[in-house]
Amino acid sequence: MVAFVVLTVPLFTWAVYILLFSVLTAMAISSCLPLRQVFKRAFLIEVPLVLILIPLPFLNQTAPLKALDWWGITLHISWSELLRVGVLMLRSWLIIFSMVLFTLTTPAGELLTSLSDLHVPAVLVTVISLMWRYLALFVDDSQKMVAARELRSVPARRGKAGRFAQNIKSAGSILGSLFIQAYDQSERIYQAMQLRGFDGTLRSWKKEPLQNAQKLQMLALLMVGILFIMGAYGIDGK
Amino acid sequence: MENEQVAVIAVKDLHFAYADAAEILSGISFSIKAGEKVAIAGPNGAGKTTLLLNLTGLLPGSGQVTVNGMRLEKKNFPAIRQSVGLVFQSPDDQLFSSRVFEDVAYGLIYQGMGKEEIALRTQQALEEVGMASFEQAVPYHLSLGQKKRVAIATVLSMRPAVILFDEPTMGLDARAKKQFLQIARTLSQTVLVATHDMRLAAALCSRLLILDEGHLVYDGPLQSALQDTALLERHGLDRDW
Repeated sequence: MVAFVVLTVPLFTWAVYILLFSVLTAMAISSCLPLRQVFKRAFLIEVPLVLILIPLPFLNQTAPLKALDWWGITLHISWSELLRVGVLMLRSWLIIFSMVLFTLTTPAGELLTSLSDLHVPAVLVTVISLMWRYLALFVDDSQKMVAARELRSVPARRGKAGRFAQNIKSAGSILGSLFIQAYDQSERIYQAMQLRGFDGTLRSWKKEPLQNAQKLQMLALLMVGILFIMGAYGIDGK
Repeated sequence: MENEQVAVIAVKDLHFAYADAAEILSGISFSIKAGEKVAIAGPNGAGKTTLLLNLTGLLPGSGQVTVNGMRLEKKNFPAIRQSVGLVFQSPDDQLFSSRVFEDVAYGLIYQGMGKEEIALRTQQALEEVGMASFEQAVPYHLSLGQKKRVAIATVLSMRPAVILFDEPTMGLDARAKKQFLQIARTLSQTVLVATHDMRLAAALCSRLLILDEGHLVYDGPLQSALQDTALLERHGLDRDW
């Protein structure tokens, strides 16, 4: 719903963004989630997007321009583009915030069931399910390897930079080793699936169809979203 | 009693080698009667797991393997895999679903059973291993012992004639080992256990096969083998383990 609203309202509808932020924060607080951790996670997920958006004010030369002198290099930055990028970051962060909130408050099993109910292709649901199931195992394994590395590490004599380089090097070995483990495990999982009849087609346990109450909840949520959008267009005066 | 004389597994001159590697199984021959509980022991790399994978057709060896009266060939795989269940060494290889229920029901769904039958059999299988209250649990959150029991339930739900266990007590504490033994003893199926744990073998099985470097070096009563310390030592086994 948040993504639907954020992507539909006009770009500079600050009131809607503030309202959405307030609603999401209230939901996080009422769910007893540690706000700092939730924000931190949402910001971390936002980082790759920020890296993609940062060059835009320098590349898209829409007036008014401002010249910036950095170490003898003159860069022209577009203020209007900077503002647009800022709003895009805010919009994407709100969507990420809602996703983080959703994943922290919804058990993975229900999430996968919901995807099936929404007719997401079975192959996609299975891939997500397997990723979710085994990611935690690989995180465990990688943590064990990192711990083993720490226990065997000679105290750094080459300063922080040398230690960083050493860590990067061993991280490569750890990743390589994890890849091989993951590959081997995928073979064994496939064997286990074959033994229980897997024939290349995906079949799953179909639960009861959506209840009327659930359909009503979805409808109510959709109505709230539409109200937000209508309000936003009203605020914008269009 | 008559049924107990029928060989459910018959292996004749089985050879297997991985690509570009030495032979792992060299001319293995044996047969197992219905209802027998047999231990397969041997040092690391002896070929125990490879033998189990060959018995299910997951690895293609040369030789003649008959399971439940069917020759082990591609056209018979669905029927054979319905009658032979394999419990893997690591339960994480076997529990790949997001809920315990889905894992136990997986094989039944592929057998095309109705929802009621699936629910009933899944519940029964979980009850047999004492995990009935964990139907909606996430496999990752279970202890190793609990995962092992659920892995057994994934096989029991399919009601196979033969159950193969690969190192079933590996990594388990004393209580979990005891629980496994209790479950395994109640099984009416033919059971093959690949293990290093000679105490487990002695508590569960009456017959022992010893594999070493791909050869079947002993096939006989387990108690006789346990008395033969030299035989056990020669093949990397120890009855006090």
